[in-house]
Amino acid sequence: MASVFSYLFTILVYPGFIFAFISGLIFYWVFRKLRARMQYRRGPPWFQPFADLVKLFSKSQLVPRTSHTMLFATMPLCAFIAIWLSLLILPAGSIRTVFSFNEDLLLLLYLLVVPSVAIMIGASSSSSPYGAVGSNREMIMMLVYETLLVFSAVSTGLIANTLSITEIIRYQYLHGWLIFKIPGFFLAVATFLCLIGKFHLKPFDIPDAEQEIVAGTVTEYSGSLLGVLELSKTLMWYVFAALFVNLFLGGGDGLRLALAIPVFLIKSLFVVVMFTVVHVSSARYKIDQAFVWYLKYPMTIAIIGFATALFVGG
Amino acid sequence: MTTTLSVQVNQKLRDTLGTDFIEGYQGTENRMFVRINSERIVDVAKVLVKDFDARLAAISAVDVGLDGFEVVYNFALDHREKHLHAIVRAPVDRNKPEIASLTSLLWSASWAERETAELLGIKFLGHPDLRHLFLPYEWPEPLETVDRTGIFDVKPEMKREGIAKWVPLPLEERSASASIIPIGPYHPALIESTFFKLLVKDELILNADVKVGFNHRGIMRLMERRNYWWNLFVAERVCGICSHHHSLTYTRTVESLANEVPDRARYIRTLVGELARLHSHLLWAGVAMDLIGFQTLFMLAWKIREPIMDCLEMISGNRVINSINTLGGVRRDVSSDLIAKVEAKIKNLKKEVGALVSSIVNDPIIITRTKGVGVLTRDDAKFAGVVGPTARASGLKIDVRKDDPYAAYDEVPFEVVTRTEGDVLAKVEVRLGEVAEAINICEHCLDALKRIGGSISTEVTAFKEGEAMGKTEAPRGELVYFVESDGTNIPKSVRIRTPSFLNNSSLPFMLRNQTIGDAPIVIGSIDPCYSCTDRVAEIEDAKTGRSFSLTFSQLARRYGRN
Repeated sequence: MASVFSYLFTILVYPGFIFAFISGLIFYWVFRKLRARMQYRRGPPWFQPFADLVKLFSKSQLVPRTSHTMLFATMPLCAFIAIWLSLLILPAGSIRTVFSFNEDLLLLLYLLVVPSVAIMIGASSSSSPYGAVGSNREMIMMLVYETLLVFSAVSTGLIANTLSITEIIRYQYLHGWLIFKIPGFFLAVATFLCLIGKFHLKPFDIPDAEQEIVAGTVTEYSGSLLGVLELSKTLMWYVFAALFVNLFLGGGDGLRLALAIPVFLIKSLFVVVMFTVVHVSSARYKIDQAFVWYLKYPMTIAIIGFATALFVGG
Repeated sequence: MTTTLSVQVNQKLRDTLGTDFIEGYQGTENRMFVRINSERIVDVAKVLVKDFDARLAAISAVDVGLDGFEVVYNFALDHREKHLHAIVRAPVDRNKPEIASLTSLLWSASWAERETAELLGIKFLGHPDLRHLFLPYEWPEPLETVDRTGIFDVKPEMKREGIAKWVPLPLEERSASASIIPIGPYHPALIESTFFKLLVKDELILNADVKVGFNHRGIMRLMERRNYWWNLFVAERVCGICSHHHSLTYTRTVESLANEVPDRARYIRTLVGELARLHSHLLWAGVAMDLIGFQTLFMLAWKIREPIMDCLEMISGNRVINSINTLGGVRRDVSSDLIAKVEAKIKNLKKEVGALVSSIVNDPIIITRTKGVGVLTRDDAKFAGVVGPTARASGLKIDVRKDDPYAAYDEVPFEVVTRTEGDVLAKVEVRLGEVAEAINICEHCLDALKRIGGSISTEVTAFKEGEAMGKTEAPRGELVYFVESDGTNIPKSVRIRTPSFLNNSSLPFMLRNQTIGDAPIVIGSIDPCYSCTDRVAEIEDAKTGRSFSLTFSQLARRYGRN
C-alpha cells in the first residue's frame, strides 16, 4: 500500500508533475523577465506563464478541416506524456528516483526525442504550408543536434563508467563536478549547444522563426492543444536544465533532500540564465548555416571530449 | 560642346521626332517640358534612356477633359545636370486611349503603367503583365480582352468565382515538389499589409509575385478636391514615417508655382527632415534586426530612436505627423533654448548610434545572414529604377539632396553614402552611414540657425497657372509630386510617386534564388512602405460562394451606428 502511494507521489508530485511544473513555470518566467530586462523592456509579472496556460486551456479549439485530425490532435499529448515520463527517471536533487535503473540515461535521451518528433508529425499533418516548412526545418535540425546530444551525453558515461544518471551523480559526488574535468568540460559545452538547438532558442529558433514562417510548427494549433504544447514546453524548461545539472553540475550533490532540492534548483536556474544570455545576444541562423555550424563547432568539441574521455578518462 | 545638357536633350529630341515634336518649354528649376505625339513615346524614351542615361522617375496621366488624356512621363536627368528633368507629355485620344508600353525598356515603367491603366483606363500596348495593381485580381471590369499573364496566371478561373485562390492553400499532392508559400497579406514579417507569393522548392525561392493595394485610400483624388492649404494635411498623412517629407515635397512643388522661402525656414525644414531620416533609419535598423531574429538590437535601436522623437516633438509639437511645413515657410520657430536642448540630445545620440553600429557590423551572425543575400546588381537596379538607399547600395549614386537640392541642402556639406555590393549588408551599411551623415547635417543646421535670423514664412497669395514637379529625398528614396495648377486655389491635378512604389516593384529581382529564411530580410531591406486604396468593400461568403459588394455608406449603415 505504501509503495502505491510512493509511486503516485513520484508520478504526480515529486519529482513528477507538480514539482517540475512549478519549477518550469519559474524558470520560464525568469527567462522571460531576464530577457525583457536585457532588452530594455519591463517584462511580464511572475504569474504570466501560468496565466498564459490558463488562457489557452479556456480558449476554444480549432482543428483545420484539411488536417489529419487524429495525428494533429494526439501529437501534443504524445509530446506531453513523453516529457512527463522523463521526469520520473530524472533525479531532482535526490540521488535516485523510484524508477531509476541501470541504463536510464539512454531511456531519458529517447524520451526527449519524442516531443520533437511529435511536434514535427503534428505540424506536417496540419496541412499548413508554414507547418510543413517548420517540420521540414525541425527534421534537418534534429539530424545534427539529436545525434550530437546523444553522443556527448553518453560520452559522460565513459568517464563515470556507467549509463545510469544516478551513478553519474554519485561519481560526481565522489570525484567532483564533470564540468571541471577536461573531457567533461568539452562534453558540457557540446551538450549545452545541442540543448539550445533542441529548445529552439536563438540562434537556432529556425523551426518556429516568427518572421519567416509565422509560428512554424505550431502555426495551426490553438486552444487546449496549444496549451498542452505550452505545458510540455514549460516542463522542458525544467527538464533540460535538470539534465544539464545532473550530468555536469553534480545534481543535488548528495545532501539531505531538504537542502538538496534548493541547491539543485539554484544550479538549474544558473543554466536557465545561461540559456537566456545566449538567446538574447544572438540573431537567427538560416537552416543551412545552422546545420554547418553544428557540424563545425559542437561536433569538434564533442569529438575532443569523447576522445579525451576514451583515452584519458576522468 | 559647352552647351548645357538641357539644350542637347532638347535638340536631340527635336531632331529625332521632327514634326511629332509638338512643343517644348522651360519650367522653373531647370524642368524641361515637352509635348509629343503619343505614337513616338518609345523613341523618346530610347533617346533619353540610351543616349542621355535618364531615369524614368514617374508615369502618371491627367484627364484633360474633352481632349482626352495626357500621359506624363517624368524622366530625371538630375544626376547628369543639377535639377534637370525632362517631363514628356503625350496626349491620347479619349475614345481610343492607347499608348505603347515602356516596360520592356524599363521595368520601372511596369507598375506605373499598371497603376495608370487602373486609375484612368489607359491601355498600354505591349505590357507583359497588365494585371490589376491595386484592385484585387478578381475585380470585375470590362478589360476582358486584355491578355493577363503574370507569374501566377490570372486566367478566367481567377475572376470572381476564383476568389478561393487568395486563401493560402494547403499542401497538395501534386505540388509536393514545389509549393507556394504565402507571405501576407497579414504576416509577422510585414508591418503593413501586402501579399507575396513565393514559389518554393524545399527552401529555395524559384519565383516571387507581389500584390499591393490592401490599403489604397485615394489620396491623390482627395487632393484634387481640396485647396492648397488643406492639402498640406492630406499630404502629410500619406505616410506616417516620412510625413515631413511628404509635406515638404508638396510645399516645394507648390512653392515653385508661388514664391520663395526665407532662409531660416529652409534650415528648419532641413533640420526636421534629417531628424525624420534619423528616426526612420533607426526604426528600419531595428526592424531589420528583428527580421533576422535579433530582438535585442531591435529594442536597442528603438530605444535610441526615442530621443529623436522627443526632439521632433520639441521642435514641431508632434511626434509623428510633424505639421511644421506651411506654404511659404514653417509654422514654428526654433528658439535658442530649444537649439541647446536638441544639440545636447544629438550629442548623446552620436555616442549611442556609434555603439549600435559597431554591434551590428561586428556581429558574425548578422554578417552571415546579410552578406551576399538579396543582391540587386547595378544593372538590375537601373532597369528596375530603384531609388534611395536601395539604389545607393547597388552603386547608383543618386540622391535628390545632391542632384536636385531643396531646402538648405545646397549649403550643407554632406557625403552621399554608396556601396557597390547590392546585398542586404550593403543596404544596412548605407543606411547606417546615412544616420551618421544625418547627425552631422542636424548639427550643421543647428549652428546655422544660431546665425540666421529673420522671418520663418512668407505669405502666399497667388498660384501661377502651370505645372510643377517637385521631389525630395525621403528616407526611403526619391519622392515625387506632380502638381498642375489652373490659377485657382484648388490644384487641377496632383500625382504622387512614393519611393516604395519603385522599390517594391524590384522585389522579385532580389527574391529569386534566395531561401525562405532570407525572404523577410530581403523584403525588409528595401524598407518597404505600403500605401494604397479601398473604394468599395467586396464581401464574399466563402461557404455559399455568393458574393455581394457594398459601398462604404451601406457598410456603415449595416454595421455602424443606426
